[in-house]
Amino acid sequence: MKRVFDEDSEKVSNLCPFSRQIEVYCESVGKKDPPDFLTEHYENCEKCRPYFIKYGNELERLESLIPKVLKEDIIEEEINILKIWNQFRRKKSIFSFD
Amino acid sequence: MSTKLLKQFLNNHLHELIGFSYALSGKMQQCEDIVADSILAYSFDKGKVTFDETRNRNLLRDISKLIFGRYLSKKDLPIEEKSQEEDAKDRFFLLSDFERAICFLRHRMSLDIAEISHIIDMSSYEVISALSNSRYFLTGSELEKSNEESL
Ligand SMILES: [Zn+2]
Repeated sequence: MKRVFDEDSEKVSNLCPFSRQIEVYCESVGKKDPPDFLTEHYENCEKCRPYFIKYGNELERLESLIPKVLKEDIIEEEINILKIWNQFRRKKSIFSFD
Repeated sequence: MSTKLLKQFLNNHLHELIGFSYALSGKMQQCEDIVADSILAYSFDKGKVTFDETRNRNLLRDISKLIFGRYLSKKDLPIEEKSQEEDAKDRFFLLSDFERAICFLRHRMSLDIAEISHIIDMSSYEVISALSNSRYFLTGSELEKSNEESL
């Protein structure tokens, strides 16, 4: 049991402290600008770079497998929903006593 | 209730809500109805609801919760068998309802674990676990190890 613990703590001490941010960094692309110092770090750190590239590629592959609906493909749906909403609003004001 | 604010909301998020509905059912024809029903149900339930996102940060989360509930309640009706092709796109639909919902909410709608827990009524531990299981299933890689490391 102790040996397992020693191996684990050795593994942890070998990790670059910045490696803990890789996942957050990759997932935040497109949402907000990640800090420059991290980009520079992942470009230059021998420990982080391979893992950063591996994680980024895997995440891209994963996202390509999840369905995506584009804004330009649902213009008609948007118009229909607005129409339904306005009908609903009118009906509601007819039957509402407040 | 302002149509202008609803229009703005739909412009920003309708593709996400329809995408979420599609990720659950796999059928585009039903998505518009389910999303429209959920938006109306939300407005009706909340009375004087506003679609002003600056004042109502939970709008997207709460409507997503209604979409998920609607999908689950209609799910027991007989539906045709899903094709079991091993095509990349179909692989997503081999995940469970909950896993598909979690994957979509996380990776397409960028919601955080707490928001996802609220939508699908699961503990955050279960959400994280389902997220890593589905990643493993979809990519066949050890991505989830990074989750453990960062926890
Ligand atoms: Zn590093």
